[in-house]
Amino acid sequence: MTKFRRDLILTGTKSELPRISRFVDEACDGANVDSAARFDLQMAVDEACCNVFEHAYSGSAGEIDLRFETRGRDVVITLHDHGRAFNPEGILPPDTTRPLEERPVGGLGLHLMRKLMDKVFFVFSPERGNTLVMEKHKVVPGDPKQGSSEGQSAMPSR
Amino acid sequence: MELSTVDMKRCTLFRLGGRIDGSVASELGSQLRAATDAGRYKIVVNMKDVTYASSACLRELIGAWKTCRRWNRGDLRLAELSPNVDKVLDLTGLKSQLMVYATEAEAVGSF
Repeated sequence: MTKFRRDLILTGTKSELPRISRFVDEACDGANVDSAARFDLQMAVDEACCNVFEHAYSGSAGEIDLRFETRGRDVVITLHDHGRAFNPEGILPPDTTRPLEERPVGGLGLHLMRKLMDKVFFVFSPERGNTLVMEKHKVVPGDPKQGSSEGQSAMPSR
Repeated sequence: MELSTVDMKRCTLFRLGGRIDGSVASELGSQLRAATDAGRYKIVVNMKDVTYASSACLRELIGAWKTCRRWNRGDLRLAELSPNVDKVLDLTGLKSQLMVYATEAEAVGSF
């Protein structure tokens, strides 16, 4: 099965989130992702990148390296940053059954990523930084429209 | 993000539109705080034209909701959710906690 891949490398802040959203939208078009999954992918990537800008880079400009690719019928998103080490074990999932008055305001981004994607995992290394991998299964048909575009379209920012 | 506010007799009405992600959510928060700082604790947020609302948007809404409800002085209620916004509220367990109305008129009239 032909593979689809798109990369986006940029240095910026949360102001780049709309650009990242357009990247995901175009990648979904290119990979022919089914319509029901598009929103989930958009949201999961947006939440992940927002977390990187807010927490890994503490609001300062930082580089992210975002890859959107297909593996069989699955979409795999890989997000890499060089910011502060992130330990997801330190983030308690929100208790969505508790009254809202008693719930802390944060923690929803990671919760949404886990709800919307089929697999979410983090790796940290002192040399490579943070790597987040998210998978959404069985959302791509047998033959993506542009399967021969592997390795193309890196869009470094200036 | 598009945002307009109308001070009505019963409440303050916010009409939001477009994409509300982490890049613009703080502006929403500022506008909500301006309303509550002015003593307006009965707020309706119409989200009919919101195409996307991230957790950053929800954080600002929840923050304003808590402020409004403190000491039973008011509330923040939502109107006309798009399917995607409805889905996000459901996933985060907020849909059962916030008052949500099908129309703006109903939401305003609920105060």
